[in-house]
Amino acid sequence: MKVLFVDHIFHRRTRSADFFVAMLQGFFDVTVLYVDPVKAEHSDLTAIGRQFDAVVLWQMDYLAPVVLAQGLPTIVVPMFDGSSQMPDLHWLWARGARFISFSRRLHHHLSRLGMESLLLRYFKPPVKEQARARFDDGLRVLLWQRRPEEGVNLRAIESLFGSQLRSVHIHDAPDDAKLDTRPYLERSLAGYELTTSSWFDTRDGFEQLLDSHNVLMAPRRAEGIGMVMLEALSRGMLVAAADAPTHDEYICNWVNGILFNPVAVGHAEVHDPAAIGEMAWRGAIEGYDAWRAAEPRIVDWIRGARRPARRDGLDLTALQLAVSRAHRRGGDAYRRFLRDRAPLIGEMTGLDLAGTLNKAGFYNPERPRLAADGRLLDGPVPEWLAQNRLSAADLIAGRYVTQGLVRAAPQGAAQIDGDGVELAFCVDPRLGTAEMLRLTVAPGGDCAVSLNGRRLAGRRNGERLEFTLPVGLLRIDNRLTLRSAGAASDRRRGSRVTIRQLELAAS
Amino acid sequence: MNRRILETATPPSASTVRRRAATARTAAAERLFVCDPVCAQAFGHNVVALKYFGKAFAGSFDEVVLLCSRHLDKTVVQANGFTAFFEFYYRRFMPLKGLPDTPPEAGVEAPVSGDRMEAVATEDARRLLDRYGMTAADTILFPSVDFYGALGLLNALAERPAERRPFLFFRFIGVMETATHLWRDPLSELLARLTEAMSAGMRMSFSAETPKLADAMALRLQTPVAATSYPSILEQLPLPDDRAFTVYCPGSARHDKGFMDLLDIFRRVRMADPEIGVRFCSQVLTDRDAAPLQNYISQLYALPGVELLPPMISEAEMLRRYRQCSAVLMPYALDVYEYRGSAVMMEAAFFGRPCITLAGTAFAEQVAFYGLGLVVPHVTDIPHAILQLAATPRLTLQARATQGRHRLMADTVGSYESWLGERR
Repeated sequence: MKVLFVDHIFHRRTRSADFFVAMLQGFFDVTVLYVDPVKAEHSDLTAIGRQFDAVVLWQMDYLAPVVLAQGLPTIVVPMFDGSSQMPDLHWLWARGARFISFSRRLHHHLSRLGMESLLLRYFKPPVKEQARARFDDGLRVLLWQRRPEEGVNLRAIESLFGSQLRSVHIHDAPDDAKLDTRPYLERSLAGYELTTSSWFDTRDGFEQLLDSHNVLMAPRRAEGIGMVMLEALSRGMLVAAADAPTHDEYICNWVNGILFNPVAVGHAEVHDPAAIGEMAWRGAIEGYDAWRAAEPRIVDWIRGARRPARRDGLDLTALQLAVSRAHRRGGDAYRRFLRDRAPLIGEMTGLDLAGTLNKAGFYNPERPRLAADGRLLDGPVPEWLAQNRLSAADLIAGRYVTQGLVRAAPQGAAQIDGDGVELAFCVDPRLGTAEMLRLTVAPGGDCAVSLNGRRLAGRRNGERLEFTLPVGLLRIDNRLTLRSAGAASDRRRGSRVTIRQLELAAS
Repeated sequence: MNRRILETATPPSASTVRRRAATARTAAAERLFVCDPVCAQAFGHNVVALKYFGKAFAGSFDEVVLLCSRHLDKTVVQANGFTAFFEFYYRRFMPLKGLPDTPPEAGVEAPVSGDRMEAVATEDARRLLDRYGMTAADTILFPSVDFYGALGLLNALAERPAERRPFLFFRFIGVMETATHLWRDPLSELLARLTEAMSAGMRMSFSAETPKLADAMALRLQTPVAATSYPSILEQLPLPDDRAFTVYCPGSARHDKGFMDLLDIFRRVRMADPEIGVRFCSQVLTDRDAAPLQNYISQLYALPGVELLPPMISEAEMLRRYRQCSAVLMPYALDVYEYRGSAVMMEAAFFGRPCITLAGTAFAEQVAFYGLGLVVPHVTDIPHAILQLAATPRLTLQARATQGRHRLMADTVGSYESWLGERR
């Protein structure tokens, strides 16, 4: 089986996809094509249909429609760091492909969108026990300084470890070669040895650094896989990493590593770094075994990718050019590009996208559709109210909100302006029969509430507004409207009510 | 009539079974209709339970008919010998894929109660009684009674003379008895309807999944309620003899099954067991429920020695996991399970796996009484209990499991014999 492996040109230098290519080469006839996103239109992917049996797109997810349109079985391997912010239309356009996710969170998102995704976790081969990192002479920290501007820098190391530091080595090789890194190399603490290096000619140089340190500061805020982190885990080093994927999918805080917030780095008093290092190493042993055991599943996953219908009559060259340029321009431009092509995406994927997309390109096929009387039209039901409660955070996040706008207010509250909001939600009767709707509002606030088209009479009890529910009014699926009931003078300047919690209660 | 209703620890010989069956049969064929209108999903415990009940009573009646929702996957219906029959009354809070767009109550004239779904269930029950030409010689069993299923049946029977009313067995499990929003107090309504039906001369008998629920229902109904746990058709599985001690959280992951406690439990064990001698395995929340809990789930996923399974797994996969595990963890919510039993607990007992659970649930009383595992007062005591079990010799665990299973099965067989004997 001939497989074309399409990869980002950056990986030609970092070699971070080599482990996967090597694995594939054990089962397939693999051709590797590096694509420079800056010049993506020059790597012609429009005439590969006859040459290959399948295509693997490694981190080049946006090219999936070009490949799928040629009727080629396609496997997309997106990376969290590059693609986690992509609008749903980006994924939906690749609906005919199979996905391999190295991030659990990305896998979850793809699964929710109805994509076929195989979740994998890669580990490096662990070192022998006697070669594990040792912690008997203090903390010797290594940082490959790739994105110091993101908060992963010497200052963060000093904040985290303070007087526990014996030495710090900064491998000063930023992703942005033009970045002036001098400000990030200024120390604010004395009492430890500080050394630096820059790009090595061979990989051995960095490996020697890993061998001579026992703490690794993971170099970026978020990762696609996190190869440097995996190197350190396999050596039994103590890894400190920003609390974001994929770090938090490998490191359970304070068990086999330490997670920190790069925006506000706190202090980590590490009493037993050797125990954390040992757990990292044992976890790597287990993880590596699991990775090896997963190889047959990966091969089956690729072999089992369906051949999509060929799209004749589509100008693939124009499509590749357009999608590459839009992607290169970044978030908003790419979103607009996708939104403008929603009809084409719907046609290519067989999805009925009408009414399912919001302005940001996010897809919600379960968006409830309500009739004038408030009863749900036939079709999918709205979201379930968790434990019969709705928090301000839910409101702010737009959860359950079908109309209107909710703004964040101080102390985590949700602010609703004079126009009010409409919510749709389901209530599970097995949690008990609700007889009362309680709203906790900010002092002075008042709120008019209608449930399923009927205005509820309320009474105030301190910060609580309590509304008795007439028998039979609350259904499984419900529509609730909340509106400020402030004084006339308030309304003139735009009345508002600030809500902290909404709760359905027995009495 | 001396009936063997369930299998026992020492199954009777084939000739004994034939002799008993011959003695038991009367001139009229005795038919049992096991009804579960909620059995509409291939996953979860309804299919398994209906299958278990069917097999458990197969030797005790001339004919056993297993009736499920007509929306259950056809391949599952065929594979298990079910009859797809009932409309699904609970679609608004149990989202099922592939349901027709028009809800079953649409266009139905509202009955006096104003509850259209009651009318749908009543029409279902009429069809059931007519289709099988049911008489007083027949028996209907609801192994996990649901609100509309029961109301519909009582309504339909009220329209018929006594000689065309089968004997009714209702088994409470404390789940779907209250599954409606149209009644202020659904359980009181259901119990009132049952009491009225008894007063009107309908023959029926009750049981509940746990002794605690049975006692509570008996007080409400003012009639004895038997305690019948899950019937078993499961063989005891030998404990695995590999080095790792695997703790399994069977069944779908849910908040009321303590999913949010797992990280703390697993983590404490991991800190006390750095060599990863104890492993954990659990399904994750459904994609929808998991959406706001990504950080938490990632931390579970990152913990060495933890394997997370998809939100739904097949029955074969679940059996494989039971086979591989050494103990079953059930940190279930005390309020939700105050009266409820647990199919997982019963499966674990029959497979011969010790449970670890919290005091205060109804099924924890059974765990303690039969010696089916460890009951601890608080969730923070669970890690110690896990380590304690992991340190117990396999032979001791095996012997305890066998003894607990033996006592439980003997009582289960006896309780079903006694309960179903009430129709005589």
